[in-house]
Amino acid sequence: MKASEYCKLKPVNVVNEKWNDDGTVDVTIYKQRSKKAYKFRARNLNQKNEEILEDEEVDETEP
Amino acid sequence: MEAFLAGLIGFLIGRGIEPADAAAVVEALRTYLGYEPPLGLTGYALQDIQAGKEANAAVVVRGRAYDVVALNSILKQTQVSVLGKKGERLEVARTIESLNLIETVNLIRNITTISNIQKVAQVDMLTSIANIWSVDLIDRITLIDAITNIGTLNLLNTVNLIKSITSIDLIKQISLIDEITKAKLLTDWAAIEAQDVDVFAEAPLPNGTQTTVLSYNVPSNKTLLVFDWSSSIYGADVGVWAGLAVTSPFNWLDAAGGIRGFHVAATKPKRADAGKTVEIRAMQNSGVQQIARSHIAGALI
Repeated sequence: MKASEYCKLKPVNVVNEKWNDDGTVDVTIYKQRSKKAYKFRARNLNQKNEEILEDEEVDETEP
Repeated sequence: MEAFLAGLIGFLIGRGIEPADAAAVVEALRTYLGYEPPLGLTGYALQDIQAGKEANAAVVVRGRAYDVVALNSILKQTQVSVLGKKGERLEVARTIESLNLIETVNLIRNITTISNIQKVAQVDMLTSIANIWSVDLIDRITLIDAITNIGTLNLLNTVNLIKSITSIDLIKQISLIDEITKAKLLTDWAAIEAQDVDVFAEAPLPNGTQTTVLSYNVPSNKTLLVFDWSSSIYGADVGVWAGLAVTSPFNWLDAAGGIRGFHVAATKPKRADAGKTVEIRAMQNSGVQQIARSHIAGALI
């Protein structure tokens, strides 16, 4: 599952957002006990016209 | 064996012996053989327990669960079984007014007073519990007058009214508590169970324009309860106004403002249901663009 989808469907414990001047948002998500944080980049984050620009694959085998 | 004993009673009655005497003979034979009646016999409820108390011995309540409906008291028994077998568990009792010094209690529907129990699981209704080492999985409690000195109270899913609590841990949801001396509630529970969420955002904040500076989508099958949020601005002595909102439909939940920022510890958690988006929208009028840093802390339940 991609990080952008994971963030909307699964509970994560930490979300860091870096909003850029060009309207894009770099989002980092982290789940407790996980060894890795995952990133995605979106334009119009959480809006109907949301556009995912970059997306990492989440290793769902991690706790 | 049971069929034989039942047949023996019938045989004796058929020979003109009074039923009570026939039962006494069979009971004597049963005792002599050391044979314990199997599951299913009835009529051994309170009297047996009182006899066991007087003998200071283990109590075996022979019969099915409904045999112990309306027990007034079970005291100082360490071995109580309701299902026809000896053991250290009291299982499946519908209504008991008072329980003391029993090691394990499982699945009791209605208890008025319960104390000095090592472990309790699956109780629907309790009015008072105290001095219990461990309580697991209590659902649908409508009224508890007092909870005191509980070692660990786990997974108390829904409690509607508790009048007094002196010490409890790990409770998921409680409403209408008159008095709490020491209790770990939503925030502690969320962190311990890894159901807490912190959303931090850094965003450019143009001059004079209300701007979304944080956006978080509540995941499926979860409700976000925001109990803490803040917004601050990087520039010196710059005032900022911000509001906490949920979409869609769009609704403001809270608003605050201050020089260089502010922090809100909500007296009541702000709720956002699954699929909704929680936003912080901010505005400043310093004359130039600033950087806003915002944060929400909440629990996903």
